[in-house]
Amino acid sequence: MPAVRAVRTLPAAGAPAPAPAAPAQPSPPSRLRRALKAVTPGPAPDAGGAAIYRRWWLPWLWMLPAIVGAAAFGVFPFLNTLLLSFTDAKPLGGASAFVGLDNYTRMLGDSDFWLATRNSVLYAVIVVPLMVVLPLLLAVLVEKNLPGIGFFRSAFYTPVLASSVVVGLSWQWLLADQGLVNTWLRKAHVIREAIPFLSDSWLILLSAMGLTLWKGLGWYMIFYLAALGNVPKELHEAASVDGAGAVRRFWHITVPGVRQSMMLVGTLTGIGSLRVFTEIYMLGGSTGGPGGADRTLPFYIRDVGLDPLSGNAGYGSAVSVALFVLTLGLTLLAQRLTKEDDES
Amino acid sequence: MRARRLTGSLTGSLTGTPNGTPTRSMNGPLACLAVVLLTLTAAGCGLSGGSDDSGGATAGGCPVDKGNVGSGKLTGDVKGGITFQTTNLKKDFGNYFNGVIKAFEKAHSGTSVKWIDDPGDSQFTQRLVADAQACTLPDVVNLNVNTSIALTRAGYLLDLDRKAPGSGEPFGAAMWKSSVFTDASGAKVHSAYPWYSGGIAQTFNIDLLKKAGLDPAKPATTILGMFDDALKIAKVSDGKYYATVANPIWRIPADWQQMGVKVLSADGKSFTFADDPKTVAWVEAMTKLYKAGAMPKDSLSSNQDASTLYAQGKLVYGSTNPNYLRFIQQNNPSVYKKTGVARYMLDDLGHTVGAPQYISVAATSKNAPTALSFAQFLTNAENQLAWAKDPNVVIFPSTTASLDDPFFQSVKGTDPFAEARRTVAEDRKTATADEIALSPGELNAITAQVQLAMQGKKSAEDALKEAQSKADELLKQGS
Amino acid sequence: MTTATPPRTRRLRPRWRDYGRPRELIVRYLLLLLVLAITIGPLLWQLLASLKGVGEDVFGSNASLIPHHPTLRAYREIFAQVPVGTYIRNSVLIALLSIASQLAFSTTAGYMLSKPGWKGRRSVWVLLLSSMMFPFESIMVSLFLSVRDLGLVDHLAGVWLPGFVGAINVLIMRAAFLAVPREIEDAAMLDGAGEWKRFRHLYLPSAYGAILVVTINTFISAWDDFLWPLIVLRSEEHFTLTLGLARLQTSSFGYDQRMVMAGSVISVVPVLVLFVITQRWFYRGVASGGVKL
Repeated sequence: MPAVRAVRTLPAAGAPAPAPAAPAQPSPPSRLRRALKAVTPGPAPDAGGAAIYRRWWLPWLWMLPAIVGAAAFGVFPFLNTLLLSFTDAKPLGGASAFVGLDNYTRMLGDSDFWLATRNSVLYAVIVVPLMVVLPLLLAVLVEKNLPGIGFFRSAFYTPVLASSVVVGLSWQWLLADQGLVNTWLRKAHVIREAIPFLSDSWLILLSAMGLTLWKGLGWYMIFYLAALGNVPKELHEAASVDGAGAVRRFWHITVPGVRQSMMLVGTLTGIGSLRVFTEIYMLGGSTGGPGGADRTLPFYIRDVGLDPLSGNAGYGSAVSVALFVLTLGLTLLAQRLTKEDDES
Repeated sequence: MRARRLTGSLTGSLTGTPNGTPTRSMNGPLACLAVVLLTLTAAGCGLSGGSDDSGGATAGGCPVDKGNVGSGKLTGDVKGGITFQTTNLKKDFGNYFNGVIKAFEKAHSGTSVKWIDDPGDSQFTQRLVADAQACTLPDVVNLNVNTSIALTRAGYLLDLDRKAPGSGEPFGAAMWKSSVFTDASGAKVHSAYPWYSGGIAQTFNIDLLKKAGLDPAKPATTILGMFDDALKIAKVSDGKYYATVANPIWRIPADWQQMGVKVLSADGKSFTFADDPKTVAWVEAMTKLYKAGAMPKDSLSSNQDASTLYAQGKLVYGSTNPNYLRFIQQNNPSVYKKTGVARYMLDDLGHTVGAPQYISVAATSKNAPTALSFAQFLTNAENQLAWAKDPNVVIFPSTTASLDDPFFQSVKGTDPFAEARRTVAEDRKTATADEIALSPGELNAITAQVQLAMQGKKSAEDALKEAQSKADELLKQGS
Repeated sequence: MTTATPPRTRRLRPRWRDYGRPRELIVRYLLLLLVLAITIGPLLWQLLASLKGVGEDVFGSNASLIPHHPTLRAYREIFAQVPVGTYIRNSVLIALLSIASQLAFSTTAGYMLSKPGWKGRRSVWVLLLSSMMFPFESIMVSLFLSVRDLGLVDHLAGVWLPGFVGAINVLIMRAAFLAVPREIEDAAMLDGAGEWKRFRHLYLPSAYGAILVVTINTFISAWDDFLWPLIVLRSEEHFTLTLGLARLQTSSFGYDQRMVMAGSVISVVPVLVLFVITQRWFYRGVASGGVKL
């Protein structure tokens, strides 16, 4: 267990911290040592890790800017949305009336709303697991400092930076009936007819997911790279000596080591994939695929709520609220299922 | 349980009394209630704010100068500063606009015009919506037909009939007569000056047209006639090139209107296009073309209009907006040389419809007299003509005097630009602005159904019926 | 188990076999090349298109992949037509402002959120998480009204303010701090290090990688944002790069495809350079950049 702790000579409270006695074995990190040397002990710290803050406001002070930011520029505007969802307000303002739950009852009977919900949920269910795993594999691949690895890391990161105009054009160029993918498959005699990536509504949805993954890979890769640094090398070395293969080391050392990050990536990509709009717009056009079959919830919100001419800000707000509830619900459910409970 | 904790913490952070004692959780429900009540009352005031404001004059919920609304001509001195917003014109026409502004400031000493250029294209209406809601619309603003309709209905634009009677004189009679929008009370008013227009014309790749045995000198004169030609093209093209792109979004509702279909009821309260057998014939023809390979299969819902594929030499018919000729000229010079231009298919209607760009004065303007004066100055015959003479564009002015100018009456040259100028100038004399302006939502809803028909998933009749009911629903919720 | 690695004897010029077994190396490089093709393959065509000359077709059967007459004309044109320098300056200003505030507030908040022992942190966590879930479209107008009331329309500060601290970064920092071994902290506690000291000298250095992630993340979202600056900014002299370059690609008067491509290259290069410089530090964490240094 706490190897470090075991070797520490504990200073008496109130006395200046002595330089730690030269430890026989595992030396504490030198910077820590320097840091600790500089410390003049204040009031006796609370015992153990489960510190109870004597001054209850202290944690709140640390959190203040973040809370103010989230409240003022997130929750507060959204309260406005919540209120609008009970009205028949127009995108351009003007007179509006309270309509009670009308927008919500309309929503429940709106097949387009349910189609958009299905698409959004499907998106999350397919994209999230892949987005949690693939970037991790990629990070493991570029983790080692091989010659030229900097180039590869940067190149893998480039899609994150590419502008949506360029990405849209590139992917159409890839997926069109006479695009690169179809041409190659035809040349390889895998297919005779072009695969309708851009005109079949299921394939559009899948292609959009591919685009999301492609754009997100590099971004979450650096995420994992940063986290992999915290996995002690010694564990890998020790396991290697014990004869554990790469796969076993990955499962038993790497994965547990970056578990926190995987949770976070899951949460972030979950939220992200429920907010997909651009990918569908780029590949499926302004109708959201032929017949509007690929519209996601944010897409639907734009269609019914934001259009200054025929939009209904009240109804759009109701759908926004539904999207929020869905996102929060799925996130909390996922937390439950994966039992991430640091509180305990 | 979680939800309560959330609101509990919300109260804490909002009221600044986060509490670390265990008793806090008991305050949860109460605090929650308090927050809800507080916000409800606060927002209640906000929501009813505009209407029961009896004292000052309002427009679209914003307090405005009394002279800007109601009856009576707008009076006041032309002096002081105003803002003027265009939609992405700075890059190409910076010199022209700076010149106009300088001339105006010189003619009216003591005025200054701050030019803002929205970098988004006309699809980006978000800034206008935000500006309108915040009562910060620019004093003089360049609008497209959709935003003109929306802002007029919400009361954000100056009523030109009342505030500047007679100021429609210089504009082409057909154009001015049809440039009206419905205000909040349901009356038709002039709230915008018609400005430049790209016009409408047929453009085609002469080489490819000839390959299909069609005569470039005898272009189609009806929509369905053009579809027949397209079918002939599909038979010889063997998938190497196409007649046009598939997405019906580029043809709705212009094609229908041209064919004489009544798209909207007379009172503007419901759609009627599905009731006309001509529309059914149109959808069936589109479906046939799509199946026959006259259109690329993957362009059914694509955002790319004809110009990109046309520039690749893969389409026979290009965009109907002659403006895009410049795009062809810049990107694929070899195709530009093969491009022919012809009068648009007049079909049953007998003339073309196409809304121009508009110039409006915001009713919320703090300096409406100056703004109005600048709007008139900008749209006058002289200034419009000067811009249309820019050799890099094919645009057409809205005033009679400038259309009568020799520049349009005796065009020299045979390049596509000259052809387009000649063809469209002729057309502009009879063109009207009463294009049926579908909102993006309505357009998408109708288009989506036609796409399903083209894919063979629905009959033309069913698709149109569904399209009509969806569009009606949107129309109802928007008005 | 946390042993300090013995100082490695470093050769000045490492040999190939120092990097692993040959077979493993070959597999690694093959995989790297495969991913390389997938990630930047689709973008290459665009880059090459930006180098094409006026007479060359950008697309179509006549168009070749490789420019026959490579030229930087499109780039020169952009710099001649729009004030790219001003745009870049504004984008950098907003990005720096955002990085400063994000780093300051996301580290402190993330730190405290990773600490057990105070009531309400679960609620705060849910609050922060929620604030990431509001569809931007639905809160945009409210945000604009707030910015107007603060008098920040057409000010760079108005672009920066709503995102001065992002919940996502707080959560990233929280995850990083949670990964710091508890034992180290316990030791520090017993030594009597105060909260701030522990944060400053123990946790911050350990979360090296996450701080870089937050920096890059902030930089990119400030750099790439389009809709919000569009709504807040009015004057050309305050435009950001994305806003300014949008002019090149949306004109209804036709646009030069080469310039659109060149424009996107211009906007990507500075970020890519930043990334190339910083990427080597991502993978350092505790092991080398952190506590054990």
